[in-house]
Amino acid sequence: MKERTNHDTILLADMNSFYASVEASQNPALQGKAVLVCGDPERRHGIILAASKEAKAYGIKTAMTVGEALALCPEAQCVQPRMALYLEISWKIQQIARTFSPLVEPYSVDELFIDTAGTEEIWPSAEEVARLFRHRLREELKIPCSIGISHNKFLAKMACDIEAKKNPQGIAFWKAEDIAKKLHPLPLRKMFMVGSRMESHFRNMGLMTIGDLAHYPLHYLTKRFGLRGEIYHHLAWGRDHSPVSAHSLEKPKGIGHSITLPKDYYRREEIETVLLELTDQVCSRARRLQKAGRTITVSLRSYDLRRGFHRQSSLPAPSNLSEQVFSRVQLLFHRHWNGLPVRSLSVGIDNLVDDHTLQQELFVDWDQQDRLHRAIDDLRARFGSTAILRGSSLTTAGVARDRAKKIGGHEA
Amino acid sequence: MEFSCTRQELLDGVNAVSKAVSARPTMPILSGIYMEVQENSLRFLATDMELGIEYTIPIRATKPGTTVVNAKIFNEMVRRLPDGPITFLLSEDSSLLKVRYFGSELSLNTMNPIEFPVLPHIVEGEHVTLTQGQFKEMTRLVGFSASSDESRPWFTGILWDVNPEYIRWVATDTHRLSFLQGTMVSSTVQEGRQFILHAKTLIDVARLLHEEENPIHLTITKSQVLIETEQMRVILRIIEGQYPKYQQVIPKEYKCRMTVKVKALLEAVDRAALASLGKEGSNIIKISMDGNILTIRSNSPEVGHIHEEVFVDREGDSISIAFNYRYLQEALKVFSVEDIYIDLTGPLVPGVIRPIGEDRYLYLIVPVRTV
Repeated sequence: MKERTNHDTILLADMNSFYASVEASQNPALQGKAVLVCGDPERRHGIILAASKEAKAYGIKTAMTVGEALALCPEAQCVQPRMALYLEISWKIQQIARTFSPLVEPYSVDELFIDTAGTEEIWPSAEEVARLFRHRLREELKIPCSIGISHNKFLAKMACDIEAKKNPQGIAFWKAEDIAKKLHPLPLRKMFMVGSRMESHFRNMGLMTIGDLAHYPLHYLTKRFGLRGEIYHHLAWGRDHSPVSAHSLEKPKGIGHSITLPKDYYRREEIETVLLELTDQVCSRARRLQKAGRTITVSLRSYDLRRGFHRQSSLPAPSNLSEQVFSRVQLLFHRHWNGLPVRSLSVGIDNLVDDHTLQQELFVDWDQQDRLHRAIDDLRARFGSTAILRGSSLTTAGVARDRAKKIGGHEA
Repeated sequence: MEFSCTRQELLDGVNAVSKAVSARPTMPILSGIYMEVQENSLRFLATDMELGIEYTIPIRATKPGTTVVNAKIFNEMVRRLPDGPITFLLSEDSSLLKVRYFGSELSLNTMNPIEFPVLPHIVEGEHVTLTQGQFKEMTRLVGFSASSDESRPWFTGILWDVNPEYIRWVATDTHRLSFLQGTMVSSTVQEGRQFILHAKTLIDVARLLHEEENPIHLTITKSQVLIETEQMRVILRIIEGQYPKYQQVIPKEYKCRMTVKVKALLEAVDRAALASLGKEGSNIIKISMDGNILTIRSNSPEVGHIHEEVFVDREGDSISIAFNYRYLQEALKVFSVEDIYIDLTGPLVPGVIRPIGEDRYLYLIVPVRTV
């Protein structure tokens, strides 16, 4: 075996303004224009999902409302999202990445990690891979991307976010010596894995930059945040041992669905109708993956998006049958809902195991229920997800028919 | 109020009633234990308005009186007291309870006893009398099958099915079911009557019973049941809800009957359970039979797999079936006999376990569908 001398093998590729780039690649008329991918302003989905480079130059940011964005740039072109298309392009990008190395980890719809370790004989260097990969995306799909390179995933992501997105080559290479030079002066909010809440925790501790965090005594961090404190400490020193895993998405840990409602829901029965539809979706996806879960999670956000709850409960045995799961969902909802109007809901199951086994019960024939649900799944697979619906989905509260046309809550 | 007693006597009384003190009392006074001293007895009382427990211990009192002390503090105090005589003193013009032991003294704040809701006197209702031994047998053999899942409250209880001729107890969490037929010392129940009582409370009550032969009386009203012994009075609410018809799920016939040594099977199940533990473990053990050999298999990706053989007497078909090992293990632990029958009908039909020579009891275990 050849001794591996070069450890800087990890790439993180981030598609710039992915949805907007895809739209521009499909429609030459949009190229070089300020493009906004946004939901229907009428149905409160009216927020900006993606804005092209040209639109961002006007100060438009993702998650603004359409009204705010158009006020900044009245001539911007609004486009409805086409989720199915984005997923297809995302898949093509992954396929191109796999021609460089088998170790490709899709991280989100527009980000992926590539580990070039072991391809030294084929490609001269990771930088060369980055250049070729960018070139192929531009030529074949007309999608621009930025790439960060380093010796671990965290630094690759930081290199991409901090440097590659801003430099004209679109590629940034961070070595160990860049940790003190480039990483430590950054404010903590730029750090990958630090959200606004963690940032405010750190700020209250007097930590403003990643360097401050790195030099903060480790035992104070572990005392305050436990194991997570240790992880933050190592990340601040650019240490991250998580491997690039080509199978990370194949073994889901949990399955969940959430929805932001088209209007505030006030009545218990209406909310339960939506919870039941979400439960049905979660369970049917679990059955498709041949998984069953024990832990049921319900989260709810009220109209101000501030209050709400996120609660869990465990079943006596793993399940992927709506009736079993929903009884828990209902219990959690009854116990924790404080009566405020509801804007968003989510239902999830965790602790997944294979569903080869099904604990039988006295008084209810779950075997029959299981067969019934699989028959319904089959009908939906053949004739569409609205081929068979619950009666409650036909009430005004139901959202299943509307959702059937969507992927991830946006127009397919 | 003035009396003295030993630490152990106090501990018995305080432990007995503490079960009824709510962790989140709805009224401040309910965080307390009510104490009533009479000439030669001390009565402890606690309630959360759902459940009330009253427990009396014999003492030597110099002066009668009543008071209410904070349950948590009093409990902790009693635990820390030294062995030996302890004197309690509450003067009429003060709300401080003085606790004296050897040369030391401790003063506790008390609450106003007039505010405390004392237990109602229940006399109207149907009466059932059992021996304390029968009551304890019932909680031991049936109680563990009840569910702890509050979403279906009726399954957290033990069903009392009382008739002029018989008394039967049933508990199930829908994955297994225990059934016991018992004997009553006396009963005024004219027509059949069913009611559900919280299993955990009954198990707690059974722990307070020490005289196997002495009677335990039940007075059953529409919504409450009063349980009485010489020392104790417990009032608990009947759990609302319709208990499913348990007779219908007990298989009447079987296709395979095995005679098994409890000890041998329990040991084998204990070992087989090893391989079904762990994060990815399913808690499932698979049972199959060949001749007079019963085979138990289990496996988990983390631990490995195990193959156990137990010698049995078998008549009838050979059946392969899978169970959650916990439901088998917990049942095998309560048998006092050496041999049991295991009756099976098919892979999806509940198995029935009966102690040999004791047809009053049976245990139903619901299988897991595999493949």
